[in-house]
Amino acid sequence: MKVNDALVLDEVSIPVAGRDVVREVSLTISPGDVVGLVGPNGCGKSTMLKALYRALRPSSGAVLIDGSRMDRLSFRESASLLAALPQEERGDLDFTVAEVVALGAAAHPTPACRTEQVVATAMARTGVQCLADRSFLGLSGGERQRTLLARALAQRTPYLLLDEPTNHLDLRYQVELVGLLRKLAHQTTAPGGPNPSDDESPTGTSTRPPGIIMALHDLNLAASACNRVVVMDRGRIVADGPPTARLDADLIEKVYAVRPLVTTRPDNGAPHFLFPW
Amino acid sequence: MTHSSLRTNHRCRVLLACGLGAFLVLSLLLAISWGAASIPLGRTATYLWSAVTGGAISSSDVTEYTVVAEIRTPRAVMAAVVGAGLSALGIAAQAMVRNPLADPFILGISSGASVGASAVVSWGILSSFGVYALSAAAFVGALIASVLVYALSRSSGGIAPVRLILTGVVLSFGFQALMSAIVFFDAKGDAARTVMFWMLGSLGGASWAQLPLAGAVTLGVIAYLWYRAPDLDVLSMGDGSSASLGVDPEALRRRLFLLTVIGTATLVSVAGTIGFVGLVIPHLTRIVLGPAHRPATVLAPLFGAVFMVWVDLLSRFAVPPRELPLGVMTALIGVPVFVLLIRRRGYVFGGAR
Repeated sequence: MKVNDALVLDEVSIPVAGRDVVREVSLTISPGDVVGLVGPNGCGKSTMLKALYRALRPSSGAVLIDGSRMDRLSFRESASLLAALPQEERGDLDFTVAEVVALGAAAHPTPACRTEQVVATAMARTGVQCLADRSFLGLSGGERQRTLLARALAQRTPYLLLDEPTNHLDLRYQVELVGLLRKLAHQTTAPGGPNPSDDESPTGTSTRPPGIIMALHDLNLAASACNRVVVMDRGRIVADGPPTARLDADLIEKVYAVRPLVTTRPDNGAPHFLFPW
Repeated sequence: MTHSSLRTNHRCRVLLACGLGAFLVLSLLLAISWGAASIPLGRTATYLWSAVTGGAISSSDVTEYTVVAEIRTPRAVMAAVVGAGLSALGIAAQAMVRNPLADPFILGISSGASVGASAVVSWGILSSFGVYALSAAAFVGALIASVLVYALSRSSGGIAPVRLILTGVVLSFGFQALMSAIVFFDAKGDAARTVMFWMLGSLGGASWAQLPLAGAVTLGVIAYLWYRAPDLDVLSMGDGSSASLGVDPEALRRRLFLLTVIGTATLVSVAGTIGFVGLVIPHLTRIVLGPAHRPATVLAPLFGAVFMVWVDLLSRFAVPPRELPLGVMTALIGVPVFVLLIRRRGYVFGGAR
């Protein structure tokens, strides 16, 4: 299988501590996809994302990114194609917010004169520009999360992986995150890059919307914010498609062992789930 | 505030580096001219100049010239080299295991070296190496220890920092016990003192012959760390972040391991296990300059070199005619300075304030 403009998992198995947590999963993420990856605890969502951003190595199968096998690319090459917001990582050193975001800009070949602008744009997009000179380690959980998101945006990659991006975010920033993702999915330069009108695109080539995949716990968020949901259960994908078509009470009961009440949101027509608590 | 301007302003840092460089030269001159028989600075400079240019000196000055050129100069330069090297290696070790308590000896290198050294002192092994027997045995002991630590802390996922630290600490205990046993069963009885003196570090035996190797290794370590400094910044964010930002954490950690082993084993074999410098100078540098690794890889070795030259100088003067072991002196000066600094600044490492 070879697809030139997509992130492809081909029968990928990923072991953690000797046990295959993800088993022979195949998935294709195309530009413009906003994929919500949902499933119960331990189903392999984070493990799959970790293998995509190379924190874990698959034991079999292949990950292809824009037609090249990921394991044949250098880490530097893959980091210019794919950025990630990892879960629960703090770092040890007392960098400022701007310095942390600059690490993202540096992962992508950027002329020094543009770095500052890239960093400023990325910080503005996640609302951390006012924290620029604050110590990263001194931030609250939500502020740290937005900083790491800005760092991923500053990588200006055609693929973006977000592991529980709404963790620690208060209501306002959850809503803003959804808005940001919508905007990203409809723009034609890589995330965090300049406005589409700016013809000096740093990547030069990216004239397509990014492919985004994010692990989520909130099914309602997944149903509203994503144009595609992938449901995982015990290391395998059990459903894949638009939320309206794929997310229903039967599937959710089968996977989570909880039967929800399903309604439809009046504003965007997305399914909305009410849980029996 | 100097803190923030040093952290953000490149010119301030360059100025600081130049200032430290000049101060290092001055410190070296002082260390060469002061001693049991002090030689005025002017004459010291003249001797050094004639040593470099091969100029002639009068026959009445030969004794002083020999003291300057053959004894004090290599010793002072070696102090600077060892101080610089251990400071740089401290940065490498702390970045490798992402732990603020790490120092170049974390990998069991010092205790492995001490086993080699005590074997030479007690059993007289490697006597064919003559005066270099102790150095050679220490080097080999350090290498064996670190290979063991590496082999035992390795797993399918590479070398995990915490397991590396634990293995290093545990094996250090083992090697220390072995060293103690060798010394304990020593027939002569004065082995303990010799080994202990060696373990606390001394530059008394420094000679021109050892300098090229130690100097080259130290420069190599500094150059490599300078080159990889942006990647060290990335590694400090965590392994997952590091992978997603384009730096393979396992590969970088393996390189840092190799670098630390070769660098530390070399320096230990010439100067013994001088503790404290490799732990404290990296922190001191970060307190002054902030966390970025690139400026630290230039300035920490300069701080370390200046520090070690003064430590060696003071150790010769503290209790004449004997020399205080360097490990004692580094702690005497370093502990109060360091405690004051970490208390004064809002210094953070490992998320702990």
